[in-house]
Amino acid sequence: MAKQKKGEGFHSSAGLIRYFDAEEKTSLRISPKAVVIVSALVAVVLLVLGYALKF
Amino acid sequence: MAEERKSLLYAFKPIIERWPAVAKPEGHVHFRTKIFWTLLCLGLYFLLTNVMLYGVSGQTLDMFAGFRAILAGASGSVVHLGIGPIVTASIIMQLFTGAKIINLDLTKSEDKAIYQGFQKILVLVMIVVEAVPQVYGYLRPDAAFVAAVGDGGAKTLIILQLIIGALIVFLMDETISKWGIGSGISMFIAAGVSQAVVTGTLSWLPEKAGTALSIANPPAGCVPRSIYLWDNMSLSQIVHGGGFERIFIGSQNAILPLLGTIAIFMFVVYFESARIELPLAHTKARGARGRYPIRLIYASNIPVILVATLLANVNMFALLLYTNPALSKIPGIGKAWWIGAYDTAAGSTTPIAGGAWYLSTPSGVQSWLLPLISPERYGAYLTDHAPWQMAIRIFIYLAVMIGGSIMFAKFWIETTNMGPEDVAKQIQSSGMQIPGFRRDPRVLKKILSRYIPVVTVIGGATVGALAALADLIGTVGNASGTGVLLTVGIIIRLYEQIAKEQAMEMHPVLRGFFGAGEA
Repeated sequence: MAKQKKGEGFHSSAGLIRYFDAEEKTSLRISPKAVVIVSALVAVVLLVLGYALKF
Repeated sequence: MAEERKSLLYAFKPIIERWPAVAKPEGHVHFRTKIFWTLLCLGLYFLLTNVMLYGVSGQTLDMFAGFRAILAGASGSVVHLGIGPIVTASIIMQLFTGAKIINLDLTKSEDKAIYQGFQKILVLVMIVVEAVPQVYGYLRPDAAFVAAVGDGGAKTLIILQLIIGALIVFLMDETISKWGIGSGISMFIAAGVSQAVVTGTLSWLPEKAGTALSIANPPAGCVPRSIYLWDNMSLSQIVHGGGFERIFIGSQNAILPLLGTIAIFMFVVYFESARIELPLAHTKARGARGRYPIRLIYASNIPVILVATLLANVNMFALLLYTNPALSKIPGIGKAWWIGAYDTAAGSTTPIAGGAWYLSTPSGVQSWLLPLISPERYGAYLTDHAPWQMAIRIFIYLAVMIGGSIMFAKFWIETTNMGPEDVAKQIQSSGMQIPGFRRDPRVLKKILSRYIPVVTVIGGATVGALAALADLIGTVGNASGTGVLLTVGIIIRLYEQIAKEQAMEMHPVLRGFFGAGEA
């Protein structure tokens, strides 16, 4: 079964073709930790703003 | 052909090479680590759907109201745009590549890298394109906020928040795709729909928030709602006063939509597993037998997503043309009822007349069947249309969903190298053959073309019909038939992937086999 999957090589999710494995190695790499920390920060900042400076 | 004339997109190569990307894992990522990143991102995403945009007034109009199931995100929150920009950019790339307007050969890794890179640039463009119109009438800045920073300042700050939110979703999607299980896009869709189904079934909060429970204002979720109505209505109200009707079909969260949701779930699980299996034997290792499955839903539920997104875009443009102060002044098509009329004063972005109305998604029997049966009681759903117009609308909706799905299924097969010829080549190169036939890709192709084109059409029609039917029956929590259909498919795929991951943890030899781990 798995043998035929060989030539596939693309990420298909929810109908979209993406080739994460073919991606060029770029100089600017973001670590997944940074993604998580930044999104958490944005959430916290906006929540605090929303409560502290309510119009 | 492709070698002689490189795609124009190669002009973007310098940018693509310098574009920031989430780092790829080096070597094998443990299953537990993958679960960790997936859950972490999902948790943060849920948090963000609850973080409201700063400085937006209470009265917001959700441009994507009917399409939340596919676009994810939450109205008025930082992630208001959801995965919309990613999906739209990806669809544009697919269609252009499929129609050979973008000349890329996706079997070559160099072209793949360009495709992937340009798609990312396009996502960024789409984020801006979708964020800017939001502040003109849909996400209105708060009056006090405007007083503090000025009208332009308020709008800019809101757009900036939308862009940051969309970028976070974009990066999270990439993180989950590289470090987690599945992809962010499918996770966010499934999470949103599941949440809608659960609240639609179980929420005990009143339908109109902030007001006390009463028979006119029962709990919102299906189960508490049914029990409450059953307990509090008198016998004569239930029997003569339309009580049965209310409990079983009267609303989005009545009992029939719940049954509809369950039925769709079952149907999709069943159809997902329907397949034709071609027997295969290995040419050299003679005992090695295998099967090549051609699934009934060969193009999976992708055609439905494409049709639904197309309809979402039609609705968005019709809405903009009718309500946007600048666009509605365009002579001929601005504020033209025949394109689509909207009653945004009532806080709704669903069309009430015109072409967009005929293409809009019905949600549950109460929105189309009941008005046909008793126009006097359910006339409000007709929005000044005659019952026969409603019948035509349902017919058009079915035709668009089924016909569109068939068309996109065929298109998809061609774009993704899933046609008979490509599959024949793949089987050939894996050293397998169909026992009893000559080992030749042409022979394989001939056998495959007996099945694949037919299966593509039938499969496309099946998913289209399933989604349309689900929308007609209705689903709890306004999850939409298309949403439930997608979610079931996503969960099945997720289950398969987790099984695969675990097999790889137990038998490291399998890693090379599945093509994972070398990164």
